Amino acid sequence: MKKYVFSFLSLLLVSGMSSCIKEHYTGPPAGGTDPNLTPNTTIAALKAMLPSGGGANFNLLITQNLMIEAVVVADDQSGNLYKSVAIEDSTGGINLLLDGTYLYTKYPVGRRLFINVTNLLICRYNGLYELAGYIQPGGKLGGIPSPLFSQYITAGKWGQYMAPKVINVAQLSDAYQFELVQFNNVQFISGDMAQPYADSYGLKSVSRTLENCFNGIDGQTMVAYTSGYANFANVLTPSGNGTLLAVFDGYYNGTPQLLVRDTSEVNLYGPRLCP
Amino acid sequence: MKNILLVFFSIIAIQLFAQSGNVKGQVNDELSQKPVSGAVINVVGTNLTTTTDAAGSFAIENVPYGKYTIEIKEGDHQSYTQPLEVKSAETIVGSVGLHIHDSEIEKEVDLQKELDENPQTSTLSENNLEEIGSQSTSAAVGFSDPFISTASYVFGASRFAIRGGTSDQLVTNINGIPMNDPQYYGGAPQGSWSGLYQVFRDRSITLGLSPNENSFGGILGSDILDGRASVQREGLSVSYSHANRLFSNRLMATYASGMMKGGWAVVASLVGRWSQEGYVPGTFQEGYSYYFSVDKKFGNNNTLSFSTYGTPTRTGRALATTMEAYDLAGSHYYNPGWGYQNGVVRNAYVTNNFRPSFILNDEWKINEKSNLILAAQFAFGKLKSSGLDWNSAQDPLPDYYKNMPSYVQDTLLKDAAQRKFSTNVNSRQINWDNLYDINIHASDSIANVNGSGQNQRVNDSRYIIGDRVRDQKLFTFNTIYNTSFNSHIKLSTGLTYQFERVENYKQVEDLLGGSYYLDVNTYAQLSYPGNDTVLQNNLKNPNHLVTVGDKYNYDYINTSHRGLLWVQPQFHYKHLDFFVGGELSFTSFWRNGLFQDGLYPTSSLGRSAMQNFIDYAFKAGLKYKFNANSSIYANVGYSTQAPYIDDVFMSPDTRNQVVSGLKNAQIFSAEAGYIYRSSRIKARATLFYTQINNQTRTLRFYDDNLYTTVNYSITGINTQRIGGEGAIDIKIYKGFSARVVASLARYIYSSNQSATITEDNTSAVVANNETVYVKDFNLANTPQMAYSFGLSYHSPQFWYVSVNFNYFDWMWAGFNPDRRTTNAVAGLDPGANWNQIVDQQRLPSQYTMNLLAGYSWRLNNDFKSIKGSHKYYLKFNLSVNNLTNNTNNIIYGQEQLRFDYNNKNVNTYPPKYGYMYGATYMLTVAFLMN
Repeated sequence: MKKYVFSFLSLLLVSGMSSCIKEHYTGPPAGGTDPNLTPNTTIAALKAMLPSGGGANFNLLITQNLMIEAVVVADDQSGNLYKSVAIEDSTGGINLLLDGTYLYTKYPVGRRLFINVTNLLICRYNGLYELAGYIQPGGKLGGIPSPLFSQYITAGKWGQYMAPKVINVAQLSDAYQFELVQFNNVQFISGDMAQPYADSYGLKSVSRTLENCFNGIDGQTMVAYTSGYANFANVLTPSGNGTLLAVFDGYYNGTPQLLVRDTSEVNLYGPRLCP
Repeated sequence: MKNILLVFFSIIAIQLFAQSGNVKGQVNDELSQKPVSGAVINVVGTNLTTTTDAAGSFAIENVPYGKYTIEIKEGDHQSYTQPLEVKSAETIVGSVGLHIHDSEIEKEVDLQKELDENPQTSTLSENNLEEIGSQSTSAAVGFSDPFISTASYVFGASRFAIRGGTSDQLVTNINGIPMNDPQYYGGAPQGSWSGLYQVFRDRSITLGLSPNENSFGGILGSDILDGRASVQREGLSVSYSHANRLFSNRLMATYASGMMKGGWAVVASLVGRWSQEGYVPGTFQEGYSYYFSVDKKFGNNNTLSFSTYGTPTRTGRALATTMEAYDLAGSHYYNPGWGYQNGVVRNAYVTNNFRPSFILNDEWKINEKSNLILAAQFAFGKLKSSGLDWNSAQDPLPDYYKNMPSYVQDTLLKDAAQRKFSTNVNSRQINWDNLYDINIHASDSIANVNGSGQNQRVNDSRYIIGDRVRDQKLFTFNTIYNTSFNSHIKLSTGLTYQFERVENYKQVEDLLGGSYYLDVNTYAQLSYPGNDTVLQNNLKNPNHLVTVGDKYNYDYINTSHRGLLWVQPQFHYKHLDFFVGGELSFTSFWRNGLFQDGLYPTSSLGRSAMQNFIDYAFKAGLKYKFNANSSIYANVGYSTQAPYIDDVFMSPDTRNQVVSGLKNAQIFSAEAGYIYRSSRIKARATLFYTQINNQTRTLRFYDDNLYTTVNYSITGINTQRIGGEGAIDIKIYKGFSARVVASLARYIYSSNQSATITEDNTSAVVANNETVYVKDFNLANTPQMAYSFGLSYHSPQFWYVSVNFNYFDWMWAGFNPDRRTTNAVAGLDPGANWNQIVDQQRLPSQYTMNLLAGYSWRLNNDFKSIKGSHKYYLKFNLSVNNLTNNTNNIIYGQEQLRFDYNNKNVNTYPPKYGYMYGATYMLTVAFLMN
């Protein structure tokens, strides 16, 4: 009898195994791939759908089957942007409103996006061009809700380089909205140099004025508008003159506004060219 | 420490001149009428035992006159008890028929015991994670008390708790060692011996305050399991089961040698359980259980036993979710915790559990009156629960409220989101590809990497799989001494010492495509802008980039010592039994932090103040025996209970701070009942009352609006449980029998409570001793009304069929204490909105129908070539639970601990629910030799 016992027990040692999940799953390829999609319109064409004289605010529901392809030029990683990403294609830039947080994990600067804009709203809100998901009661624009991101956006390759438009302050216009721009030879005005970019204690946004010097005297100005939630809000503005890389945020009360993405792009360390 | 003199009472031995007689009898198998040899006969309350011979007969000599209960146990058959009155020189018990065990039907001990063991408490990480608890009923062995049998086998699927009790109220002993874990809310970790019921056939349960010789017990009683090799009858059992429950296949083999020549005995049991996918999608089980015991009998009096067992198991868990998610997913078994990875189901919430145990036990029958048991246990092991963790990223769970359609404001977009959730399985499950994509491309410039002072650009994962680990080492020593002074007075006493050390930490399991994970508490900086110190989970290793296997987030060791001494004399007379008992215990524990938390740098590292508690307990009771068949009994008890370690520390993950106003709880318990036993009827009815005052509980959850962990320490918890339970089991005619069981009670909070609320990341004390208005609220998630009606038929042709119909009602969901404060309803007038916030949700009533059937084929009858005295059987069993496939039975409901203070809207964070499985079956084929 005992020998049957041992053989039964050894039979048990041969056990069925459940399937093993591969321990070394590597996931999708690094760098990403672009989907097999072809855009059939551009950001400029979408903007052109809006009437030019319609006042500061106008919303239009896109009913046609349209798709654009653009690269993200500003994301919410620093906290300076909230619930939107600035995107740019060869024809211009626009603000894409997305109702979600930590957008930079999926749609960071440099990611190419293919956006199916059908049923989205092309809007001009306070003079700024936006792509929105819906209109909130009261008229404010609402972003695409996060459960539906993948329904409108197919994300492609990461790390796409977008060449900045190198211009000077006088050349700024609405055509450059939400595009990556580079100014050479600018500096903060003396009142706004060596000052924190924003108020991180009161969580208030602050404008710091920059100027273009003209023959040694103060020239045209523009403003770096930074949110109190930005992770560089505490950092002090540099006092020198140099190159500034930022995203143009449109005009506010006639003054051009710039969105600083990272303080490493505010390279103002040369000698000042005007007081 | 005070010197406490223990003076309970002095026992005056009364020498009575008692007459005695012999008891003889015959034991047969009820159906076949064949004699049962080797059955153990015990006269309960005495040391008188014997076994039946090959002809099934037995004789016990010199039994003093009196009324007793005689108990007959035989491995293959259900335990049998019968009244016995000895009043003459010879008493013939007559022919006793034993029933075949129903226990070949396995009732699975659930491995997801965390929630089950603590029905009144919340798990540590409430952050969108609540696990649906037991879908099965508790461990199997035939119980002779029909109420306990039904409550264990049948009611468990509805999470019925006997008398609304919690697992710390029942003391469980295995091989002479109490299993209750002082560092786990006092409950016994059933998972560490799950599947091993075949070796624990020798099991006795005492329900309530009645005396048990092995343990003082808790207010729910004691459960004494004896798996030593020497108490097991020789036999071999090999079985295979197929099921659609948590496991799909199960293989079991148990061999017991019985007492062999030379006084040796061995027992070995091996169990394997597997499923690709269990009843709920994403769940699975891969588990093994082993048990090995070797005993050596020295002379006639001393048995030394060594046993070791363990249950290495991997289980994929299911998460409870909101009604919106169940409705949109179109199934009550929607589980958000898994997703497809390369086409294969991958569950982020997996539990790995292995805690082997080693027990050495010596039983010394000093003489025919006295018995001493000495036992020691050493156990160690890890419990790992995995889950998603993230840093600087949005909660990726598909049922996170911001990811759900209900969060979308615009109606057209909400419709689109609902359609997407309902129709696209990938949008309602975890998107693994997305997580890997994000991690592979994540890149941050990190200052002072690993405390080096250097800046470095690092590919640090946003999402990882992390394990919550409990690494436990446990030592227990127990001794039980029983002695009889004469035929009337018996004394039981015992001493227990437990040492336990548990290291609690988080460990990286999988980086999901990234190279490192940054171990910081990002949100701490929101309250202290620019302050890098508060970010650190461990100042000893700032900005630690962890990889697979590294500890992160928290690391601390809880150490406890516990000692207890109990004494219980029992008195047995013709009509009256009575007893008293007392227990004294001390509990001492402390926390030792291994990480220096940046928010609490002076109170997180090193030892906390030692927490010392002394508890005592008294109980007494009597039983009046009218005649051999019926008796009544009444017991009372009073005890104190120290708070549990997880409730004492406000936020053990971050610091040593102790909750203030700690008290030992006071427990008063009383019960009275009537028992009737005859050869045809087994019945019991009991009324019970328990009042527990001054309990402490600490609940913790992550509030994603405040970006911090919030701790609720609740004191002044007073509960009242009052009701009645009863069961009657009748042999109607020939093989037919019926059973009716009922339990009707009220389990409520008898007063308001007091809450102190703190936020970890801001060190803010949000509320101090704020009143929580929950007087007359119900204890949650257990039916306060339960009924069962069952019919069985046992055929003389060795097959049986049994059906039961069960109804449950009076169940309430768990509540959020924060919603029952003045703050929560400030500015609102009593009315619809007020009631929505404050009222406790009642869960709908439910019914179930279960079926059992089986056939036993005695191979010796058909294969005459089988020689020898061994009997061989092939047995078939089928068990079907929830025969009518009712998929609407809510067995778990819990309000989220977050509350939308801004809008006073209870629907922002809706409650989460779990449903009972639909129809499930288990089919077993077993080969037995004995």
